[in-house]
Amino acid sequence: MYSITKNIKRTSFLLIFIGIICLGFGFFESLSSHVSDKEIKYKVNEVYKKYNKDLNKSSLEDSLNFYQKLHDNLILERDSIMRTNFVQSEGYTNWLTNLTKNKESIEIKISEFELNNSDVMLLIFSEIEKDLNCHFTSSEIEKAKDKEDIYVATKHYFHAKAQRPWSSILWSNLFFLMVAVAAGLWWAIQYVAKAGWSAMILRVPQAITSYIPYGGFIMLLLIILAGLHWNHIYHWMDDSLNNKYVVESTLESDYPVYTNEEVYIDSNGEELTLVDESLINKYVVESSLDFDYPIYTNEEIYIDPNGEELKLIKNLNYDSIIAESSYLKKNSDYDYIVANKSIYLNFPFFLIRSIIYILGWIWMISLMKKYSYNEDRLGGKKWYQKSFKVSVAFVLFLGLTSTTAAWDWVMSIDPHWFSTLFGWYSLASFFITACAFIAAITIYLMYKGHFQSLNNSHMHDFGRYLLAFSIFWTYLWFAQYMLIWYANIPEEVVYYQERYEFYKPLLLITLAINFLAPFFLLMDRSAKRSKGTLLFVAILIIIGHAFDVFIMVMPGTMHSHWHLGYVEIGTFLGFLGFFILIVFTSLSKRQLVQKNHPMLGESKHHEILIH
Amino acid sequence: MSSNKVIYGLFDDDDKVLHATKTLVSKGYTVNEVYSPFPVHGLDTAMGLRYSRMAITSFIYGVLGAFLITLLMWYIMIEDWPMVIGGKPNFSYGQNLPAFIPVTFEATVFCAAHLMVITFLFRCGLYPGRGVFAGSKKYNPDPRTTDDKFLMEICEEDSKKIKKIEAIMKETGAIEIQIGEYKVKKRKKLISIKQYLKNNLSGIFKFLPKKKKS
Repeated sequence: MYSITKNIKRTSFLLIFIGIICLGFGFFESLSSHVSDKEIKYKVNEVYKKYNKDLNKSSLEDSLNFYQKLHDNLILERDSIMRTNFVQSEGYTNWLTNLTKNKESIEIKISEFELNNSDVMLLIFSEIEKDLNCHFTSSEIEKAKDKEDIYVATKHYFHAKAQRPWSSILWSNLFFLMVAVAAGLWWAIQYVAKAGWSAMILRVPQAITSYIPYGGFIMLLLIILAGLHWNHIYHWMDDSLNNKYVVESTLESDYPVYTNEEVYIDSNGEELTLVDESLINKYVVESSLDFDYPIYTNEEIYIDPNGEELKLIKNLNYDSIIAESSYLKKNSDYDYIVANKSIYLNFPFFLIRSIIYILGWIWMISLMKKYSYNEDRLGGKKWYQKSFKVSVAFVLFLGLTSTTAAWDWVMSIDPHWFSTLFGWYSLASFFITACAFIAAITIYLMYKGHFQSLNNSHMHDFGRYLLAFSIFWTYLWFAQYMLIWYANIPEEVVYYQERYEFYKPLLLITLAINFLAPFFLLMDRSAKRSKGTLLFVAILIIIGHAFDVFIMVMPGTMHSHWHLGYVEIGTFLGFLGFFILIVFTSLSKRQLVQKNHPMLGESKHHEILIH
Repeated sequence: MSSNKVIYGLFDDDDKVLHATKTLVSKGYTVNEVYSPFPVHGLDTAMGLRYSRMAITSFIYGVLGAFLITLLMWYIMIEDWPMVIGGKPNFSYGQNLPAFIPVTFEATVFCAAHLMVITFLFRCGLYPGRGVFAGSKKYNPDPRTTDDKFLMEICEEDSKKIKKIEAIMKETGAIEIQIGEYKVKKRKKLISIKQYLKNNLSGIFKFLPKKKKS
């Protein structure tokens, strides 16, 4: 009989305390420094106007003056040559070389002028950084060409910042929840395979699965809050991506009304219809009039995507009565890739699926728990056979739900991207972590004087699990990566591009910890049979796969503005404390060894003799 | 090869031969060899056999395979005739690494597995031509050990000890005992790998010129 020690309780409460403090500060920081989209738009407009007036004009004037002077000089020189009336003279050739020289300097001046333009961008960015207290990456500054780009970059920063505490909760909770589920899978596999060696330590995975109800509750809470738009981890839940049309009069408000129908009946009972663009825009681009779809605009200046200003003329079809009334407009944020997935990725179905996964897991695991307790109490082979049946059902159920859960909870964070291998890949990641947790907790209990009959051969089996599944994880990681790398299709490659550009050190560290370290440390037979090495590798694997899940979750929510600071690490530590507390409390509830398990004798005399 | 006396004890059960080995070893005798139709669990530890070094050869063969295939692919795909495949850069091995990894993996496994099996067969003396030539040693003293019998082989010179061994064998259930002079490859005395390296390395260092104290 094991009972939870004071040290573990203290440590876990300390960790939970750290987690709550860090998360609280994270929420406080993200809420207090939040800037709304409207304010951003206003600020960007202001700064953009200010700099474009000052700098662009002055530099343009400078270069024009320079041109003028150059021109004058050339004319003077040419006149003097003409006066001598000696075309083939030295003076003429000199003038020609001067001309080419001047041409070069003009070109240099022109390129300087272009440089000035990017300098203006830099100045605008730095001013916004100073005023709104935000930060941009160098690639964002390099890529930005016009006002819209600055606005989008600033918006992304503040959206990412608001997601920081939420996505760290998702990271930590998802990690421990899925590890608990994978521990359940490990437990079920022992029954399905009728494994004898592990009969003694089955209470350890059983204790880990007791995190599922808590983790599942937090996960559901997170999903419901995402549906209420408290957080925007799941970008596809945004109405503006899924709907083709928007009510024009609500466009400037905080909650625009979106619809997919061409006729929308508003709260007053008025019918709003989609209106042709030619009726509501004052101006039209002259050069586009002959096209099938002329470009209309309400602004007095129109700049096309290449940065050229196009000439506008008055739109003769403009109808002021219609333009001032309420009507439907095409939604410029409409994302047809996300909209096409809305049959599967819509909030009600998403919530129902999540509830089914979590309740299904809890139900099956609780059945298995009940049978194992009954076995302890009543004895007999009946309970083992019952556990076997439930285990088979659980393995089958998890085979389906682990894949769809990975699609729903992890892959849909990047809604444009998809990978058919993703379910397996994430399950492999969680399963190896579960193996590491089971090994680490068992070895810890052995150091504390429990599990006296465990010997080197049991350690050998743990070592084999860790080695085999870390190679399996790498195999799936590489299988997913190589196909995407080789095919080089933009919609797929964007996933790794983002990770490689902004998360490169973490990505490489993850590969090193999760593949190279276990591979070389556990390759030797004697290393697999030693407790110390195994504990070290298990802890390494837990850390490495925490980073792996970090790389799965964060790029979709935080993009380039990620941190591994006090919010993330603090939240993770908090969840770790919570996890440890639940697991060890569960361990101390019942006997540590299932005394009536039919395979117990085999487990006690387990010995791997084949060399 | 030594031509001292050899005792052969035939057993008809794997538990009996295991028990006999354990009792003999515990009394200080060295069991030279046990011939059995199938691997008997625990027999190698009871005999005091050294842990197999096959894993080390496997690692070496794996590294060899990876190295050779890397050399081959680098020469074919990069050095000799660079090819553009899928628009990937054709002048660098490093930038194309993902494409080469599956082949490297397969070649590593291929070399490790095949060479390991060949090594194993050679170490067991299972190669064609063995035992065909006149005067070559007989390596299975009793063909019944390929069916359902177990044969224990002990080399001993002292006739007193031979009698004792015979008694123990009979006690533990041997059905047939033969004593005679046979040519037998005697198992070397058990030493640890550390000791083995120490002995051999010190031999190597003897040839090196000693440092003179100045």
